[in-house]
Amino acid sequence: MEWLDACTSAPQFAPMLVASVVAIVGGIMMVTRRDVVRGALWLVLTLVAVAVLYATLAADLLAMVQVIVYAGAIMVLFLFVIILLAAGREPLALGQPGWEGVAAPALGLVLLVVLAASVATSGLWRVSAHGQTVAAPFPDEVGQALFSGSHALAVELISVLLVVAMIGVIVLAKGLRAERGH
Amino acid sequence: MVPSEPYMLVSALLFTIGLVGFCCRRDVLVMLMCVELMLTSANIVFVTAGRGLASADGQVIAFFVIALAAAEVAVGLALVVSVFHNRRSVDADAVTDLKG
Repeated sequence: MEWLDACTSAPQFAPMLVASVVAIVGGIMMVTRRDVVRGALWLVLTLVAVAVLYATLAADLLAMVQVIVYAGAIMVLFLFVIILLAAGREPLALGQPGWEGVAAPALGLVLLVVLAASVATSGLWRVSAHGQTVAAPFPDEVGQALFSGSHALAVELISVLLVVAMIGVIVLAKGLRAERGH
Repeated sequence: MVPSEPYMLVSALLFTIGLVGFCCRRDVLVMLMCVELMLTSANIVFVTAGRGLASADGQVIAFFVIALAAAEVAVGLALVVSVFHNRRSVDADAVTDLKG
């Protein structure tokens, strides 16, 4: 396995390893906590660790967006809703009853084996495995690719999607208020 | 630089954790958080492949995924709140009929 040798000689390997372990531990803790608030806080830790992974991949802009949007805005929204709904409520039991509780982890194990085998055999990422340095795109290149060229239409469509989602949320909240009025 | 394989393996592990959590947990809020974990693990693959191919497209797609995740969370949480006000529960098994 030549990529293992390339790993240990890279200066970014130590932070990458620490961030990976933190992300995976945070994910496992998120799934196994019965208390939803604790689970959400473990997920925040995982998302920050993934931001560190982005930084070791030389994706600086994405690392910052990950912290601000994902670990910041989205998780704050989650915590607000959890506080709104879960206050004084007994947390649900862990796991599914019956055969589903056994089948899901078994299926997950099968998926993990398939994914690991495809990583080991695929040639798509061989480019960087030989230790040669590929120039990672700079933040200004990412901005150029986003707002000019072939992705400009997709950016506009995403903004339309965000507006549609916002209108949908407003309609759902209005329906709640109308129901409560009766 | 660190080769791509360890990043891919981390992403595979995170995706598996998210999928198993989504199947095993009954709390809708935890299921939504597991979806977030799976989307994030897919983002790691996009960024890693983009670096391997020396292209900015990987990071551009990751930006799109983050924007989609934000929209999905907003609508999903609004639905959870709406269901909670009707059923007084966030158990996914409590909502089994269409008429309601």
